[in-house]
Amino acid sequence: MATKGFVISRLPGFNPIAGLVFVGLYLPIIILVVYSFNAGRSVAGWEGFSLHWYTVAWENDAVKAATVRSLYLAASAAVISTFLATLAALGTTRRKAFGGQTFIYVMINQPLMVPEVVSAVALLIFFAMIKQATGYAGMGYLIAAHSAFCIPFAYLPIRARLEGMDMTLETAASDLYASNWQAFRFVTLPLLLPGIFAGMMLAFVTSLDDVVITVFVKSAGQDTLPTYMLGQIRRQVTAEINAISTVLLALTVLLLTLFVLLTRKKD
Amino acid sequence: MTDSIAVEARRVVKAFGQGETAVRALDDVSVNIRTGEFFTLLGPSGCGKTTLLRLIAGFEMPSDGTILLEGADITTLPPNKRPVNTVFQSYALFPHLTVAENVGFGLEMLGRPKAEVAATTARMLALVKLEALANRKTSQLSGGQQQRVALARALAPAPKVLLLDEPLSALDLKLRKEMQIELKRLQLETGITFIFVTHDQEEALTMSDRIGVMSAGKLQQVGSPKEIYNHPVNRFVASFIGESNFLPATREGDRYRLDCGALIAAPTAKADRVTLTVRPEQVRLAAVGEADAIPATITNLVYFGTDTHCHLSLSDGTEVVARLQSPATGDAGLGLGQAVALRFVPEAIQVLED
Repeated sequence: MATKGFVISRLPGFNPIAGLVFVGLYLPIIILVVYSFNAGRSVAGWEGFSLHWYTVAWENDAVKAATVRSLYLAASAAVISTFLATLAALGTTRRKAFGGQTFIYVMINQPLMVPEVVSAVALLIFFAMIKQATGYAGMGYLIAAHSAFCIPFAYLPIRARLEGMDMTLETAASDLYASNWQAFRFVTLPLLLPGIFAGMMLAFVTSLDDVVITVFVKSAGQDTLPTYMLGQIRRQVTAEINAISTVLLALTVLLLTLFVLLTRKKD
Repeated sequence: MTDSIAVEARRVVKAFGQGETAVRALDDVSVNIRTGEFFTLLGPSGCGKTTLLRLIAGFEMPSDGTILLEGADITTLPPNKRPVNTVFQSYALFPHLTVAENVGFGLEMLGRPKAEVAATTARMLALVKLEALANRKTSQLSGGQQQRVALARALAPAPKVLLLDEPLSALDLKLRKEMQIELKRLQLETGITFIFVTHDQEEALTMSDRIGVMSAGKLQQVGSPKEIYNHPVNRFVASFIGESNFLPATREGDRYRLDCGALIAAPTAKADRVTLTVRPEQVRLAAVGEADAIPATITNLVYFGTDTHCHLSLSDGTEVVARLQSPATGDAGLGLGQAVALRFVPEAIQVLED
């Protein structure tokens, strides 16, 4: 006669609604993946299994250039933003509470709250001024922009890891003759590494699929994979886009799986 | 003989917070801890004992006063510059390192040669009997084993003083008893000064050479376990360590008259109005009407196996507990409400002026 408490999954209609949500989330993606293996040109009619569009995408120099640029950009942004986010996380957790702490959290997480298109316009204008003054038109602008908006994504898992860490360990290190730097190098950093990797992966994935800021900031000939695909779709929809999307999807799923494995609490 | 003092605290004050809301965790504490002794800081939680330990370790700076290590002022020295190591209540073992790496950590940080680190680590692991587990991760160890690693790690750099912050509180009773003996053995073998913090009076009595009893940020009394137990200086010490009977009394010449009317001989103090204190095991039952015996009524009998606690009420209502050894027959012939008489072992009476 055990009385059960309130269980949300027992409300009427819970299962149908949950089912609908999953269909809405995943059905389009499943269709995209399936049609990437379509033999025909059409994105509406199935004409048999083929890896044709993967070959087409593989042999397309524009796709290759955009892919390399995307990976280079995402890797640079991930490294830079993770480095800065690590410093920020250490600075906000490894000290006594201070006035204005909440304000600093908000400032660090600003890219999560400001509408992306506003950041994009602001960066466009800011970079245009620098471009005019220096004449530099390289990848630096994209790397700087991506590093900036990736910081909160790297910051959150690193901070979570630091907050979950027993600070007595650092006290113990200093008790055992470790200088501040040694305590960080031999105790804090090794224990923080899973958080740093997780943050780096989140930053990488976030940079990899960014469109809005990239479109505003990029110079001519600096297409990344997402902006290249956007350009292609405007002209003509081919299943080549499906193939590229499927590869991106696989890469993202792989990275996020690693993220989950790294942040999972050990028992 | 200043060179026989390991740690000296001089008028140390530690206040947390500011202004009106400031809390004095340590209020003008001075104490000398001798080289090579097992010194225990004993007191209830919040009495300041852990704060004093953290000041000696260097984890916090005193608000006022001086801390000396072997005569040298270390008040403002950071923890990594003090030849003092700590065994933490939570052990604080490094989870990413093996048992051996944990034990060798201090020597590594001191930049000792690899061979020396390895040799000392092996010696320390042997000392705490953990040689077989050298390459395990610390998360794979039991609580008692983690405790031993924490001890070996803190002893490996051969500190001048070892600080132990309630290290046994997380262990179950049986393991705690074993570790008490183990700790005492380690202290004797290494000859290192131990400063041990605990709220457990039995732990303090069984292990310590000397005890400092603390309450409300002040050191109440420092002395050997026997001194503390037999000659408590005030009511707090008498009631915190062991059990005590407290009897209000007024001086009459060189004797004291209890509120129930009985006259008691005891060492005379300055104050006229005092409290006499007697341990329950120093109370004897006597025959009713016996000379100098104080009449009383039995209000409760609690059987403990080896002895029986006999709760008595004097004629003015003062409660007295007598701890009587259980007789071989198991029946002392006592009953509730029975009129008896009691007397105190004269040398066991302490006079508290409060």
